[in-house]
Amino acid sequence: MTTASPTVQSALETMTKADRQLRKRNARARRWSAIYLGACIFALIGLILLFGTVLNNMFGVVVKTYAVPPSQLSPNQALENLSEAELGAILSDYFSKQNRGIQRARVLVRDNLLGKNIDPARLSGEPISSLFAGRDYPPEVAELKFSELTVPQLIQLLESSISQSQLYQMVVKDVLQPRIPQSWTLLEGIFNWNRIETEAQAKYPGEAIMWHSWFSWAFVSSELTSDPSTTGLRMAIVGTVYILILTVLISIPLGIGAAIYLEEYAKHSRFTALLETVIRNLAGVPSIIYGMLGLALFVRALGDDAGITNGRVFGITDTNGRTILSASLTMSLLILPVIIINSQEAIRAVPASLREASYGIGATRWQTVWRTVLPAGLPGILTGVILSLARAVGETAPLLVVGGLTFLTVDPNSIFSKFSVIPIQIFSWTSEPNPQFKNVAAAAIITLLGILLTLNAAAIILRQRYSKKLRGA
Amino acid sequence: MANQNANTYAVELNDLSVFYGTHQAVGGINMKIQRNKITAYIGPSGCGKSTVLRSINRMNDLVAGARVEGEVRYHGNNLYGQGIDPVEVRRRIGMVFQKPNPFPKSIFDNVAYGPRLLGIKDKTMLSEIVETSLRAAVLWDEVKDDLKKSGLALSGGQQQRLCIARALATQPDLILMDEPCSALDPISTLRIEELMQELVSTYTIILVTHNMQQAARVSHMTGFFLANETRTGHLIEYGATTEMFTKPKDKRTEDYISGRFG
Ligand SMILES: Nc1ncnc2c1ncn2[C@@H]1O[C@H](COP(=O)(O)OP(=O)(O)OP(=O)(O)O)[C@@H](O)[C@H]1O
Ligand SMILES: [Mg+2]
Repeated sequence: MTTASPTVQSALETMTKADRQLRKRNARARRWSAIYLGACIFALIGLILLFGTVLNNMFGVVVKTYAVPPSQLSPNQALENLSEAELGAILSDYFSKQNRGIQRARVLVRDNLLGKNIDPARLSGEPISSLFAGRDYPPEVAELKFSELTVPQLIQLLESSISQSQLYQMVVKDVLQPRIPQSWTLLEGIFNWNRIETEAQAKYPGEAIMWHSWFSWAFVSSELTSDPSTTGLRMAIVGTVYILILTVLISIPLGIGAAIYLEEYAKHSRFTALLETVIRNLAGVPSIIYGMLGLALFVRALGDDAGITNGRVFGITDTNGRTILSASLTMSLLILPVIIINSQEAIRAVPASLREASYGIGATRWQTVWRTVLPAGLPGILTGVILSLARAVGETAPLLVVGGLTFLTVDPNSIFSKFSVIPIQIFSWTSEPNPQFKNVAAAAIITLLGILLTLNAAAIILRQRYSKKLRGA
Repeated sequence: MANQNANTYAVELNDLSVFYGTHQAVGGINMKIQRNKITAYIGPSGCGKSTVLRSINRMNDLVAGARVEGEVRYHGNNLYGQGIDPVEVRRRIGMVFQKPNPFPKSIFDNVAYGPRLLGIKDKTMLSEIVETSLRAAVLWDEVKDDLKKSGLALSGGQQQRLCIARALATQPDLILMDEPCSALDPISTLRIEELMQELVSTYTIILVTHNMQQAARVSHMTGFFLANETRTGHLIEYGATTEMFTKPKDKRTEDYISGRFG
């Protein structure tokens, strides 16, 4: 065997050494991958615990009591299958026996058929034929005044105008008056059914215990009340949707516009470098600080003082600056830095060759941005926008500061309305002493998670659809 | 841009220098580009071929810190003179790049991009322009049945011809090609070369290439560039291609063409 040259020799030696170290290197790789696996498992357990807690509170076992049991009202048939006439008979029977029953019947007719805000003078002065002009009413009451109607006549008016299911809801709310005096969680129900049964028998003799989901269509669509068994999330959902839409309208044009300016127009100078640094840092500012800013700027200065965000300059006088508009402006400020940064990266990722192609044909800067850069960057931009919106939907602190209400009795109906949002509602319910509000809060959390997941899914679908199109498939 | 016919040269470079920041990339370029001829730029990497080419349609304006001295005369008008809009210059002078760069849009929309920039919306007019341009780029027969297909779904050679069609659609009379075949296989290269020879009856073409055979095959005139010690490119020799390749006047040209350096 010929001897190798010294350099080759030393190279060979290094390699043999490396070979001996291979076992060590592999062992090291295995150790690290075990640590990473551990981290994943830890995260997974956390996620399972989170969902477990929410589901454990959202489903459970309850005792339901009634002022009048349904079996007494309708012994042979399920109550919700009764005809309008039969339901009407139950109502009219009940209100006739009750003292002040007639007042309640009048309120029902007024709120459901004439509107809460009807002029009291019309109500007391005009006959039925004019109050109900153009609608169905029994002919014999035509000449009577509203206050002269008897309970059966009032109920007849209801029957002729509203649906069977609405009547059923009225029977439930006014006659049955279901209450849930006690509830147990899902796990308690699964493992301690017998103990729950004996406990319930002792406290509420004769009442049945049953499985119950606190999340239901009724919960999502009902108005807020102070009773956990009847309360609903509708006002908070409407508020969240209002703020979401308005935030989109404000922050998307501003955010994408700023990103386009910084990437495509601005000359690189010290000023733009400073601007970018500031934006990057703003993205990390705690959200409550945006709340303080919103309070000072939008609620106080632009609202109570200038009269813009409270609608005074538009002729609206019944609100202060704590409106949906103020909340949306605050949220827009909060997510603008994130939208700008994401859009900038998406725009930067558009290949320079596409820009050159566009300019090379004789496009102006504006045309290049609109026809080439934006369409190519859109999937990335949209993903960033939707993810930051998802963040905004879950934010609580800044909106509490800006004046989100925890108890709202009417649906928001304009950008100058007072508002509540889902996370604020959850926050307020979890701080109630009555433990059943924990169940209600869990149902609201599931609603919020549902909205967030929908937004994230939309981001993924949009991204895939667009990038497929761009790749030319 | 008047007196189009008064001048036999499509482009005249008069003492052209281009700077990137403080670095002078090329200097003292004097060159007259003949109409309806293919002029090839050759030279080793970094000698400023692309830089000169891109200063002819003012693409260098887009590079931050780029600066041009001297004159570029196009049909007699100085392109860097007052009142000249670079957008208009780039429409009149088409450009084809090294890597095919069709837009992620349909074939039709790719070719119609230029006309649409000019505000043409009429569907039949656009279709006509698209067909004419694709025919001129010898791509029509291959794509006429699926103009809605994405431009990115074509082969590399087809993409490059699509880019040529796209450049032709704004009716330029001068086309700048910066190594248009360097990303293509030999067959596609051949087709582009044939295409150039067809186009040259109506257009003037300037072609940057690293491929000596290509320059010898297709070009009428050749310019040889070389960078000096300070990395500033100069035009060493410029003349008819046949003469350059058979009896070059400059020793450096001869060395480069015979592959002795570069
Ligand atoms: N955008 C730019 N910014 C700064 N310097 C540049 C830029 N483009 C080119 N240069 C410099 O200008 C000189 C000439 O470059 P150019 O691209 O014109 O060479 P080339 O002859 O086209 O080379 P190649 O054959 O590799 O394409 C080089 O020194 C290069 O570093
Ligand atoms: Mg080049």
